[in-house]
Amino acid sequence: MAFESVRGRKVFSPMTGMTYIFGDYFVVMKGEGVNPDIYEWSQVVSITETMSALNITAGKQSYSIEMNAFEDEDKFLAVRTIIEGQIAVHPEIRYKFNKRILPLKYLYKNITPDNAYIMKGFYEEKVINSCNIALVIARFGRYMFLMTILLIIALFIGFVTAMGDFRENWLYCLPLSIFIGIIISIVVYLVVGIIARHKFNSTKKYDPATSKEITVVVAPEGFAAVESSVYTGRDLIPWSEANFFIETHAGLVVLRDNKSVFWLPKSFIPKNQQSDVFGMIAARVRQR
Amino acid sequence: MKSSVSSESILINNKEYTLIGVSNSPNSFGICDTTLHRDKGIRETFFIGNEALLNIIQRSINGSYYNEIISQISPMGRGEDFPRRVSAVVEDYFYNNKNLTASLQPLLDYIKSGLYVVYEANMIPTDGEGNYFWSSYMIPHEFGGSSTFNTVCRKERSIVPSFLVPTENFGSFSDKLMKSANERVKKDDCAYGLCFHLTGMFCALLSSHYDVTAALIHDKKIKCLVIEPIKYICTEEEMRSYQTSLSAEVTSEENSEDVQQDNNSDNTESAEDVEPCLYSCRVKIPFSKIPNNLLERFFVTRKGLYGKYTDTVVYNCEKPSHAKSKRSMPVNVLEKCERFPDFEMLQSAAWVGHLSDEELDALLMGETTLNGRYIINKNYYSSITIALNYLQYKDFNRFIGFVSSLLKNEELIAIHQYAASRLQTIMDPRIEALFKEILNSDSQSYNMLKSSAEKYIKRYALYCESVAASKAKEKNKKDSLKRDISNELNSLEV
Repeated sequence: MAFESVRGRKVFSPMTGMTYIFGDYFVVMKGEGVNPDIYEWSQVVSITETMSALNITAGKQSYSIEMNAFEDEDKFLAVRTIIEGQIAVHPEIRYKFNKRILPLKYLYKNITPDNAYIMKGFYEEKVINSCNIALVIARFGRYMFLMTILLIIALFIGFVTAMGDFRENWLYCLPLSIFIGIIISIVVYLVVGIIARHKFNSTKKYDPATSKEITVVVAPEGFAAVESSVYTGRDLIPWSEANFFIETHAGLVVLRDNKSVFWLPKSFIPKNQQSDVFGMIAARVRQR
Repeated sequence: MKSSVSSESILINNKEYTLIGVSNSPNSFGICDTTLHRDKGIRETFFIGNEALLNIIQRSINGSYYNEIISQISPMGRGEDFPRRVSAVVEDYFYNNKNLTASLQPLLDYIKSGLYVVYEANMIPTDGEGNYFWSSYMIPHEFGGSSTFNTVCRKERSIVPSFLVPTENFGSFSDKLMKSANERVKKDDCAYGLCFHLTGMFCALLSSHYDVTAALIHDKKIKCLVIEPIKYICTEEEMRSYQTSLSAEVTSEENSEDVQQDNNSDNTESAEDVEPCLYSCRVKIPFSKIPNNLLERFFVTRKGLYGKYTDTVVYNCEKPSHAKSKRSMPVNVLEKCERFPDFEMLQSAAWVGHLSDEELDALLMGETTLNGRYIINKNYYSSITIALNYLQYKDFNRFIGFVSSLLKNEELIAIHQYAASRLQTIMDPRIEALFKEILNSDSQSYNMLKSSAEKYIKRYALYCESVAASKAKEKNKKDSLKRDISNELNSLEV
């Protein structure tokens, strides 16, 4: 099981007066003299993470832990790591979570790398945005060209039909359609770019990990990007989980099922190691 | 950062146990998971600082009921700080009568974070199969009774972890140290030591290897303080199912001091309570007896916890063993070891509270139930072997009667060889007579037993000779002493 060496955490909820312990078991302690409710993770039915609370249904009971109960963000991140580590073993747990920048912990496997590049740093907004835009281009670039041509054809047909006589008006309609088609395409492209640019900002609201120090690992066996506070050195996502990667001037993004799972800003890597790290990745995942 | 320790004394079935919770520790000694490839099983290592001392290998991930491979990798350095601390603990607790937690403090500052139960237990200086403990773990192999949960008692019954695993190097055995240990142990009733529970019925002996050997030579008891990490729980459902089977058992006998009675005392535990418990090999501790702060420590500590030394330990435990030696103990010491109860006897005794003659007769008749209840369990041959081992340990006269009835019953041929193998190390004229009878019998069913019978008879003859020789030697000694005294008296008279 991944992240099994992350220390268990107890969370006291002042609202309910109960203490919740996340570890090898999920335990709810209701005070002295009362036997605690102990759940093996296989007994946990669902976990829902919202902006205000963490809702857990275990057995026939439902528990809601308000976000304020987690004394600090590191504790919340550790709890989330333990939960996702358990979900890897018990995929039957229904799990709803907020937007993330880092790969979900249930993708990780317990692998101790022999040789690995371990890098640390903070994800900068600029770098992530640049990677996001590159991603948009990679994903929509070719469709954008197709869309522009289709738009021009549609506009041309529209104009000609509206003006009536094809032979007389096609010379006016064609440049007009091309011009308007290109303008619309540029606007769409810009909107998509703006959305991509704000993706990081919107994730920042939901995911406390965006402001934390991140440890990035690139090893022959797999890769990892985890909050440094829960980094164990023994958990990696195997390369087989990745589909392809995209390299931009600011960094490198690994994608899985067309979604970004791993961001590696170039600023994280010492200059003399950059070619080795990228070479290691390129040898295992195809580049788009 | 200094580790924070809290403790609580609890009484279960009139026996005192101390629960100790440790957190924020530097994790300098204990057991850590050093598995590299999970598909090949799980490896745990007992370590002290950077040093990997013992490997415990479970060959299957879900093999809590399979025997484990135990091997000594490197010995504990004798001149270092840790052995000094262990000696101080033994000295303070057993000789200076200091309070347990205060005595253990020098170790608790370093022990891996988690919850521990500490208790006194009488130990057996063997590997559970009649071999001298100090020389048995140099070559990695499976040990009976080493499974995480006992194969007979399962999680249902507690069992005393009685067998010792050395942490010192047998290769550097010193006759000088042995001599001083002999003198020390002769003065006391028993040898004292400190153990750390490893797996199943096995504990790592952290101190007093020479004292334990001296106790073995002088037939003294070995009393140890055992530190057992608590890793498992028994849920309410599990406890309920155990209670159902417990209520069907006849609970048993009075407490006395030996290991067996230790086992039985716990078999009667909490028959009327159904509440979740913390599970340790030795005792199940109901949640109601545990303060919340200790319970929290148990749940917060994860099984896969790593410490700052773990990476080095993982590396060191891969190295070839340094604990090899061609040395051997004298034959009489090794023979003494063979006579100690083995793991099968202890686990059977822990499982069976009491067996009446009526129940034994029913078993011999081929029944597994009596008055609508299982005598031992639903498997007939398992019931027979458990009964046999139980009697061998508990009631020798009834054992002889039962085993001879068993061997004379030709329908139970499947169990004959096992029964004969159980008799090989017991030197008794009644067994010799039984084997002679088998040897002289024309029955086809005894063909398989004849070689065992011959072997036993030869061994018994040798044993009788050695006993006669030692008696003659003793007599000569006495006679010469008498002669000396009379000569002296005569000279005085003159």
